[in-house]
Amino acid sequence: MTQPLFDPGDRLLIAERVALHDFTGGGKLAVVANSHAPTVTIAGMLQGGTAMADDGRFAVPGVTARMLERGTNQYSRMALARELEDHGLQLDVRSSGSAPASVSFSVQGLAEELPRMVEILASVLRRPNFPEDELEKVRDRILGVLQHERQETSSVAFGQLTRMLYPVGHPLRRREIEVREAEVRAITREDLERFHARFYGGHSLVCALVGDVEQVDCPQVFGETLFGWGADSSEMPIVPQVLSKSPGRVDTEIPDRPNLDVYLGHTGNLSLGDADYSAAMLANSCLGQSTLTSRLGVAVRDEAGLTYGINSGFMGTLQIPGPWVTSLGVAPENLDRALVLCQEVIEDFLETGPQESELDDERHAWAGGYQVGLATNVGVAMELVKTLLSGQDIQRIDRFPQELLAVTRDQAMRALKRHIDPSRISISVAGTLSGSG
Amino acid sequence: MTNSSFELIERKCGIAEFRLAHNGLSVLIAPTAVAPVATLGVVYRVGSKDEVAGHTGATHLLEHLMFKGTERFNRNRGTEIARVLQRLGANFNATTWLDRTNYYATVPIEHLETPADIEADRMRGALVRDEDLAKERSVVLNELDRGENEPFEVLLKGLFAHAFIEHPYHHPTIGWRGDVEAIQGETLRRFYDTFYQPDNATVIIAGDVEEKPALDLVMRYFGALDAGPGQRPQGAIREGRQRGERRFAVHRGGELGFIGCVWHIPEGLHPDIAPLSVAAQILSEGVVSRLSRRLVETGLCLGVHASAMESHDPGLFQVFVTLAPGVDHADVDEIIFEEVETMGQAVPEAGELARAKVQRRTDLAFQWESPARLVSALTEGVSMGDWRAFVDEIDTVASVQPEDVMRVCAQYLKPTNRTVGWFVPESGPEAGE
Repeated sequence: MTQPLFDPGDRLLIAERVALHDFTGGGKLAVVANSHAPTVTIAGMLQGGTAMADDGRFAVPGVTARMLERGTNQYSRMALARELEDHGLQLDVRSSGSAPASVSFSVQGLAEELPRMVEILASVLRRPNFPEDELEKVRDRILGVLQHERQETSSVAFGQLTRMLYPVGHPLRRREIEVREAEVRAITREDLERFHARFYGGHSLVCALVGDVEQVDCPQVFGETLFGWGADSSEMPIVPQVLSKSPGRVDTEIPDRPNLDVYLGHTGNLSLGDADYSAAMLANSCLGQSTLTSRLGVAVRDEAGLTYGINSGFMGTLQIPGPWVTSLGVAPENLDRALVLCQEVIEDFLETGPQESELDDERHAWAGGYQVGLATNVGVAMELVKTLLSGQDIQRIDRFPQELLAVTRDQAMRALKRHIDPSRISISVAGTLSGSG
Repeated sequence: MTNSSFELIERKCGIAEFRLAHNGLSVLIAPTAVAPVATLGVVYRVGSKDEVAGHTGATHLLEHLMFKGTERFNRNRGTEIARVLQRLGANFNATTWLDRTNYYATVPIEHLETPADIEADRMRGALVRDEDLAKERSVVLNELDRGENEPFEVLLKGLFAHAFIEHPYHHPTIGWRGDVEAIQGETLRRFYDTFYQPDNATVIIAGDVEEKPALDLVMRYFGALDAGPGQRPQGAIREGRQRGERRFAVHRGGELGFIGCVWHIPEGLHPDIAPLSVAAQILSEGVVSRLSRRLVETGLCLGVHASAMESHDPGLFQVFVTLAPGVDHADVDEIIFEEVETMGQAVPEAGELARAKVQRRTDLAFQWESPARLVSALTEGVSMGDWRAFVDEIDTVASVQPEDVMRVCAQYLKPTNRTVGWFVPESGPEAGE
């Protein structure tokens, strides 16, 4: 037998490399030094996402986040852009898709630019001034993007599915485009100032810094600049109860779109940190994580040749559990066959569950994939933020692969039955359906 | 066998190039110990430019069939390629483009042997069966339909088809629908035997690896492959000089308009590509770029993007914009042309040039941070004809002078050398009025 050529050796666990700083008021900063490239990544989240809009005006948090880069007490829109671009920095701030109560942000650049990155980030998060003219530009841009969304089969189909699953007032319900347009048109500068003053603050800030920072006094660089500010608020989102509804199907006709986008799904109840989180993720993986190897992919793509891509998954497991959905693209003439096949595969899987060999493949796939995901500074930073945000200990990052490898078939079956229910699946289709059936 | 069978070709900026003497396989090793992972990629110097009329899409279809396996790796044995890689936690895929086809997998370092085993096995052992083609054809047709859903893809396809009349960059990588529907297994097998040979491939390994074990790995798995026939068709078609503006419009269902403008430029290794890339950055990179200020900040467009294509054969300088609702295509056309023309009439400001250079330097630093991005960058270098283009880039961009930018813009970005495409939405406010 040949000798293995590569050995991971004894490496420091990530948790052992993390310096964790707690700031008065509640903010947290995790720092990992990695000197193999001359770069740094700062990533983080703070409270201020869509789900914090307790008056049903869900556009306000999103526009607030977009406006942060449009002017601060220190920088005009153009001056800020110049400061970033002249130093090769990339800044991104947005309402988080994965954590609906949060705003996520990141800034990346060369290590020598770290003090500037922190200073800009603090200015953007703490001291935006929401200029009227920039608000008009943002408003026009969002309205244009919404116009574009009308023709996007995937957005239309997914939006329709969420309206079938979630009641009015629920943050995961994607409102009709007309409703969103009206909300955006009605937003004033004062709405944004009020929202920012009420929710944004260092108390909810979780932040990770990863990169070439061995020589940096991080608490000193970050401390007051980024953490010592804001309302002492700990408001939590109010989420309307989701009542169980009969499954349904809605087809939306969009002209001249030969590929149909299809979503099948139901409301979900899985959160990172749940005891059966790993088991549920693994069970779903066997069903639909990979378009090439999972049950759905093998049946619908590989054997029947009906689709280029099919996947299933839990959409959002932070703060508010998202729906469980299966998505695929399909030609109109193949729609009925594809839907029947999907439902057969899902029902059969729920009945019989994964084979031990399938489950073992997925255990190793997740454990290895998790390690691959931590291969870049940004990957490590995002995982640290997710861990801190979900209130778990940092050791979880190193422990998680072992948890995955320890999941038994019985645990996967129980999680499957608890989290996926074929009898509750609703269906949404968008595209040019005239040739289907 | 020992490493003495490798011929060292060059070392540059921490990357080493070797050739396996007996079969002509090229090897690039790029150690970067950012995390205990590594990426192994194989790039074949065959892309859609190597297809002939009637067989368009063959390269891409073949790429799909390469996942259907070999005698050792296939579903009947429970060892299909995707499942074996998946089990390692690999981030893997394959892509086809104009000049190349590439396969890659990023894995925890202790599993690096498996992608090497698979890639070596399917380099000469792929089954390429008719029954697999029958199923995969409809998958590819669905992929083609997905592209037809996207206005940008539709426009891009039209721009290449109009800008290139003689050169095979004319046809889309995914192929014309009629060809994809009709292509036969025999054609794909012939294509495979012609182009999937060690002397037409480069293995690239980046990540937490040292040179010696990486070469041992290549020898262990690729060392047993014989040299191929060595002769393969060399594309010799050169696009004739364009002598006047070409225009087309696509009227399709949609809500927003798009414009694409392209100009013929030299091949990726030509020294004028660096100043053209800088020109593209000055035009569209970031909020302060010229086209962003004229088009996006004024609300005429939702987005703008310019780039200088880096391809094996002469390519295209490209500008794409997404119009805001209600804006006329013609109004935006004029502004694009005006800004592009200005680039050829005056040197850029010192600040613009400095900004473009620092952004490039930062991008390159981030490429070294990720083995997958490093392999991807080297893949594009190989596909252009010289992997060193990647490591030389920082110096070539640094040496660009303001006069160079003005000169190349004046030389290439001329009205007679451009092709303009409009995507005109048929429904929605614009067409409805």
